Amino acid sequence: MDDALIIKNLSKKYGKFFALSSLDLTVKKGEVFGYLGPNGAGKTTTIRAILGLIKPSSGSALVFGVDSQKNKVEAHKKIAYIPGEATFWPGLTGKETLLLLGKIHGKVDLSYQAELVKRFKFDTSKKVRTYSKGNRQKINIIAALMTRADLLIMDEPTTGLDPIMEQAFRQSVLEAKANKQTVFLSSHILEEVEALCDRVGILRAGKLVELGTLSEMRHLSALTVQATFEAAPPKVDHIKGVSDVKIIGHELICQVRGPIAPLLSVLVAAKPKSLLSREPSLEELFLSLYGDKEVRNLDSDNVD
Amino acid sequence: MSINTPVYYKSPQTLIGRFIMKQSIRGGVFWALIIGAYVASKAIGFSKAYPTQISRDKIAANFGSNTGLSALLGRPHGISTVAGYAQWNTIGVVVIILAIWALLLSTKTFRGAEESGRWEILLAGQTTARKAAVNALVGLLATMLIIYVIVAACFVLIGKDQAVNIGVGPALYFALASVIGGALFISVGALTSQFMPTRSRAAGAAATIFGIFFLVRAMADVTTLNWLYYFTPLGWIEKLQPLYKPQPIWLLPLLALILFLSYLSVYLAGRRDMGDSIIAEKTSVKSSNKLLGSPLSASIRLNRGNTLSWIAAVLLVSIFYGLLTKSAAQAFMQTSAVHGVNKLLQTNSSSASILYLGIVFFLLMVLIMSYSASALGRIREEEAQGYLDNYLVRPVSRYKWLSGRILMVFSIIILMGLASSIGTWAGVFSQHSGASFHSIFIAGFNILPPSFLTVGIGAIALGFMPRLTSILAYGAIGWSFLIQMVSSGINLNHWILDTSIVHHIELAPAVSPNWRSNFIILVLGVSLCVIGAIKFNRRDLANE
Repeated sequence: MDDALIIKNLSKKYGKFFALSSLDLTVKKGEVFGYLGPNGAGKTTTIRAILGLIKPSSGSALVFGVDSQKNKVEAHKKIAYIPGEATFWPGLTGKETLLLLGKIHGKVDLSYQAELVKRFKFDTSKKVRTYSKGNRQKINIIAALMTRADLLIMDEPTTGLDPIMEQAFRQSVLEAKANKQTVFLSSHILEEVEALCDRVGILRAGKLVELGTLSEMRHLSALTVQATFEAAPPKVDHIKGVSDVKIIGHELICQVRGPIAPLLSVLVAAKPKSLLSREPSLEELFLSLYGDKEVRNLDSDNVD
Repeated sequence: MSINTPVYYKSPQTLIGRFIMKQSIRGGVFWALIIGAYVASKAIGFSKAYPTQISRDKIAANFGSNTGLSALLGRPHGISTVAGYAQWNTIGVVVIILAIWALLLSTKTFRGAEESGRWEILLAGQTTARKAAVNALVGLLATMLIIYVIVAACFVLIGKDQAVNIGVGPALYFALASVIGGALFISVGALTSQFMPTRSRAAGAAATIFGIFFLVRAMADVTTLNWLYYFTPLGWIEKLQPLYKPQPIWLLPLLALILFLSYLSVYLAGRRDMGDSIIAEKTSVKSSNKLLGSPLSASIRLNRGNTLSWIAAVLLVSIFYGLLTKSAAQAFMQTSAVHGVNKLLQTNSSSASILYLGIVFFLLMVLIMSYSASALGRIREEEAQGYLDNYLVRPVSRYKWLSGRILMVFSIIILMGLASSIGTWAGVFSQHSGASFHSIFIAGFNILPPSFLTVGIGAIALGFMPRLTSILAYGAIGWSFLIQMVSSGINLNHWILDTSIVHHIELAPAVSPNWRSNFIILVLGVSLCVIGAIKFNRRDLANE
């Protein structure tokens, strides 16, 4: 079995509204898969359906070949989940909570647990009600990672963490990857996804609109070219694949899709003082898919 | 980008008060109507059950010498009159009900909102900690005012009954004496919320204060230590005596205390940091691994305080009523009320203490059913608050979790049945009232099937309409109680009677238990639990 997670035709309908529509997705064993989308796109709905917390309107999710709806307990033995919100029993201490969650899961690497507690600078002696939001989230993270589960499902896992703890989290995910664990990471922090994920799926209004490695996506997207000249820049609008041309004084910025050679020949002929080209960041890819306006519209819809 | 003219809302500074009043008003109206109905049943019921002065004098002599009832309701004054009896029987009970409701509401509003983070959002508005506290107090006291208006209207209407005959002025004063205890415990709850770090501890502290006030008043009532009245606000309320030799001067210390406690709460709210309390919570505590091996054992650990409180309440109530067996039985055998009791119990028994114990076990049955409804409410809360997610994202089946919780509730119900038997027997035995341990023991278990059925109703609601779990479970109890009460006075159609859960229970020891009927109710309760569990397993989790 090479696939850790196979999602087939997964849909979730609330009344007439499709929160998730015919999702097909496969996550390979050992890979770190980034799951992106604006608020209301259906990311949390997908995760809750995989976990069997909600019943899909159609379709299925197989976790290492086990149907997570029909055989939740077997599927959950291979899963550890980090939700974005930490809701624990306020009267228990951090240590008691970790003990309870570990015993329920049934498998814990105790030395790794101790290492994680140290890494995340987590004081286990306090009662949950006295922890800050970030410290409560640490319980979620440690409780999931300490199980060394085959599939780690994370939904906005770094919510409330400070930048140092975010780095500790990234280190932990990379360790999980090195340990051949599979990670399904849903996140809004594109930099985090860019740094950790092998492949990325982008969800929009309940449908998967992009799927692939980041380099595959970048090839599909425009390259940004920036050139500065001694005099006025040459005209490039007529070149095939060039768009969004901006001229600011002696500086030219444009986007190019497809072969770059025709553009380069025109620019080099005009003897540029400097010439820069860069691939789009994940954020630029994300924005190019949605556009500011659409992101705003989807933000108002909180189905997630 | 153009900037639109903003919308300005009226009086944002008083928004918190209005918001809190809106949130609490439904419960307030409910209790006000209950109080109105209670007073109507007591005043009109007394005038009809004891139509002659001779019968009223007899009841006055019986109740007047009953120290147990004096401890519970206060020292009786002029109870051979309808007004005196209504005053004695109402204020003692209503003060208890309203005080507990008020302290729970107040601690929920102050400490509960702060604990959950909701208070922080309100404080971020155009207000300060002190202004917000003032607003909250005004909102809660406005709710009490609305309760007063409804109760007063009910009392005025009841007073117009020729048999009751209470004037408008005395009725308004009577309503004030009944409700002022609620206002007092709004301010007590507000104060304990400043001192305690959690809602449950704030409520516990306020309840302890109530308990001390109550105990001091009870001591003053049953001993010759009359000066003790001066040291408890509940004694001051008793001294008001709105319908028999009124002493309105006692309103002054009560109002002064409410104002002082409110002022102190507001002052302390401004002195401390948001989320902190005057009595700080220990930030680090020693962890204990006990009962953390499974969801079921964790539930036992996390609910043990609540469970023990319920069992203790059942035990104490049964001991208390057991102690009253002799005198209470003597009292109602001399009245026409015994006919109603026989009708309620569907018997013709002539043994007063046995009849009385039948009523005691009826009340204990309702109490244990209330536990069932509360337990199902807590199960639902676990889902609503998201705690259940922690289990169900791990290798725990929904069936296993829910069946474990329901079996735990069933076991506690059985323990409560045992507690009710032991407590009642202890009280009866001390009075040499004649009922055997065997009959009381059987009676304790005879009352349990409706509690299992209440669990079943709650489980069905949890499966199909999770957000209505508490409402439907408590609603079934309320409906059943209402049907039983009404049916003791008038003839109801048997179809309506059959909708009452408790109607099918023969109330031992006054009547021999009907084990066949009990078994059917038990099977029905278990079946509803199974159906509820199947539906629960198939539906989406419904977090709040």
